[in-house]
Amino acid sequence: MIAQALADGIFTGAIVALGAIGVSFTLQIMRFANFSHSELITWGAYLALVFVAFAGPGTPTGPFTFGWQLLAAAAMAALLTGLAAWGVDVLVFRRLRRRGAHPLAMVFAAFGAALVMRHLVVLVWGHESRFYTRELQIAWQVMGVKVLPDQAFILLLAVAVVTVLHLFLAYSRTGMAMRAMAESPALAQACGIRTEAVIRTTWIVSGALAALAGVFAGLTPQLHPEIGFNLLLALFAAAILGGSGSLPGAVIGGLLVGIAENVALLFVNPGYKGAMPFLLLLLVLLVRPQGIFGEKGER
Amino acid sequence: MTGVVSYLVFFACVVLILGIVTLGLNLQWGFTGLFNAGVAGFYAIGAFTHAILTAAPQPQYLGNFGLPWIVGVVAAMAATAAAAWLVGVLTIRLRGDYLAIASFGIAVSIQLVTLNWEALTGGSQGITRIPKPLAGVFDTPLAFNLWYLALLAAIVGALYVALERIVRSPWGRVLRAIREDEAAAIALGKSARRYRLEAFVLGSTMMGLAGALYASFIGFVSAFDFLPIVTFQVWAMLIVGGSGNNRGALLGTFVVWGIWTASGALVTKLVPPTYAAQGAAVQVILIGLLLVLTLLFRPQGLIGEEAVVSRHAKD
Amino acid sequence: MTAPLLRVEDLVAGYAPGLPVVHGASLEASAGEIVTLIGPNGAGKSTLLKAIAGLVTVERGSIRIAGCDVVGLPAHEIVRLGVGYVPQTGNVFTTLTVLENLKVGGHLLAPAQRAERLAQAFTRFPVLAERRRALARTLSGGQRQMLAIARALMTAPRLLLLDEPSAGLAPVAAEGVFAELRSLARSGVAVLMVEQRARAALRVSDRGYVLAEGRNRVAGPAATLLSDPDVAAAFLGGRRAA
Repeated sequence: MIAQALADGIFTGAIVALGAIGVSFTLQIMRFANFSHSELITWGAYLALVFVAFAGPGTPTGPFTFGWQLLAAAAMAALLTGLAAWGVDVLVFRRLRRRGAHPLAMVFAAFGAALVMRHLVVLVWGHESRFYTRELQIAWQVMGVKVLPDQAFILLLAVAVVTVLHLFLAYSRTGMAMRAMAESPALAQACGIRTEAVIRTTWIVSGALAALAGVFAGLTPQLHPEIGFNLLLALFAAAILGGSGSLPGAVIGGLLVGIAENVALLFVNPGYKGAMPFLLLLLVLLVRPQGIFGEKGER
Repeated sequence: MTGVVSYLVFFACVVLILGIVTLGLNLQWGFTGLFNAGVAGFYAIGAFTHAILTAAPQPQYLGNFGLPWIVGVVAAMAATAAAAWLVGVLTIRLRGDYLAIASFGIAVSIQLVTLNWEALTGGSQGITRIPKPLAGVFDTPLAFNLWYLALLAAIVGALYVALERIVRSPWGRVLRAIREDEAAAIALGKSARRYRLEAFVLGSTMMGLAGALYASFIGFVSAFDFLPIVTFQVWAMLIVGGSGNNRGALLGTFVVWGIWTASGALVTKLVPPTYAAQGAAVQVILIGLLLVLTLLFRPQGLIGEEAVVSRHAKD
Repeated sequence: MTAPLLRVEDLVAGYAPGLPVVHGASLEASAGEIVTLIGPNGAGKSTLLKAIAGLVTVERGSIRIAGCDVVGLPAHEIVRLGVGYVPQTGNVFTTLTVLENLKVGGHLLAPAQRAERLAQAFTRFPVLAERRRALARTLSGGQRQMLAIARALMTAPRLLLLDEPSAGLAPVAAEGVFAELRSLARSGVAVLMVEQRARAALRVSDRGYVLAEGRNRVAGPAATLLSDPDVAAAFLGGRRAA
């Protein structure tokens, strides 16, 4: 039982982590809690659905329920969602930033943007659940734990994405500029960094990662317009849990949230699943507000 | 004709009830700078406390004690105050957006409790047969609604006067000092936290009162009345009207609820029932757009903050 | 005489519109000289430096660097024009390593040039080379200041702005920083610094300005300011040995 919950938790956690990285970036680089980030997850999932509607999910390859077409759809969705995230910034957040608006005005704007973004999806696709594919698959038994091949694939892909991101942040010029800006925008400017360019990259990367989270969530097993919104608390919990600091923070925060949620379900009425990330978050905010990996006294 | 009148009366009642919520949020955000993103949760606690205490007894419910209306109202305020105090003690020291996340989580958790604790709250069925005050005296729905409108107007009027005095009192000046100047707040230290907590509890208590008034107006509450969208709507009301201004809060409530209701009526009229979900989505999109456009083009809201209150502009 | 590299005239600047901190200050700095800005707390010295670096809003007046008006230019453009800025606090990225700090300092450079400047920085500051993989937050105060200066030098600025480079340093470390600035000026860089350790700073400087309430009070060769009894009484503090 515990082993199964752990396995399921790691899988949920991988999806949460991909979303939480973007939340963590916005918290650090743009310095506001982006309540609309969850909607990028939803947009990513549905944009991929558009491509799947044209090309189909592909013939099931190996043990998986999909073929390369779905991966191509995911890649297209990631690109478009990244651009969409930047588009929302240009339309809304950048204007507020330029005006030097109160930092919390960004959060109100995010409320509004989230309402619009989520309900645009309802407007186009309605409330019904959608599927990329209706293929069934047989679970693998690994040491007494049931794992769906799709889940295993997603987990590996998530690990690969996070690794690439880590290398990008650690070694590339832009990645370093992002980390520099997260610590001090003024000093970053004094180094000749164009902060608006860094912010653009940050949105594109965050949006792309959110889209992948959305496609993965939609693949296991369905899409609905609240697919992102239902993850919102988990995203914040993971980002803050990981310490609004390093990238490994958000990833490990995501895994912890996923595991905690699934293990808690062994003991708690499943109806309360949605409150689990919050309880974890409350615990962290009270005990260690700087997060698990954050520096003491930074926030 | 009577149809229009009774509809307007009904609309006015809802505006006044939501106006109380917005006034409470204005005390928290507009005057103290506390980012409460859990409005729906406190509203729900008030509504459910009232419903549980006053609804007609039914065997399948733990509550439904059939107590008098006024007991339900007072208890709703007390329960919300207690919940807000507990939440505040735990979270009030968090910086702005963390407080928003935490309070948002609280509202989600409260909503889940109202949905899942069926014995107490009726779950998705909700609680019905909540008695309306003096319903026996007024024999038609319109007569009752008119009486209730008068009651609400009196309550809102009293709250408005009280709030106007409060924000101009020494206590209110300290709140604004805390809001304007983080350094002053830190210098005040422990006592700043106490002032913030007091404002948080007082504002939330008003939301609880509004919840009770809502429950005894409609006669029915369920978990679906307190979805996170309620929080966002109330925020839209405050921002659109003008935060830091009690008249702005009430005007914003009227405008936003008016747009919500009018667009809802239009949608029902124009959109075929099979597309009801899409129609409802348009309503929400309008509220979202209104919020964003206000922030972009009229950040001070319809009525800006009064100069008496502060010379410090929001942006 | 050639035109000064930096010429600030009648500058009004601050953090919020309508609430200037600098009220009409003027100053100059030429290549190869060290200019020190002294004055009481709140005189607007730091704000003046930030205005030159493009980090605060200028309401009036002009800032010319090699004849080119930089008012209104974004900070990264001013870096391109050859201005290096070392703030007083938060002048290194504590979460980045020494090497990464320097690389970020050379953000604008082409890879080959950046590598060349990195090598120069490590030659100039051997202690940074030793600790290149260390997180900046683990450095001592003096090492941090060296890193902050080295970071600003990555773009080979013509004008280096320093906000209290000796703040929080032991006297020995402070002397080390001042010696470094002297050698930079010898190589042709114009150095403009704000200092609390007014005497020590003026001793290594060519010229000085006294700023009070956002305006110029006294200006002149450093030696003159040091020996002026009025300046000494009002702005240099009583202790002659500081």
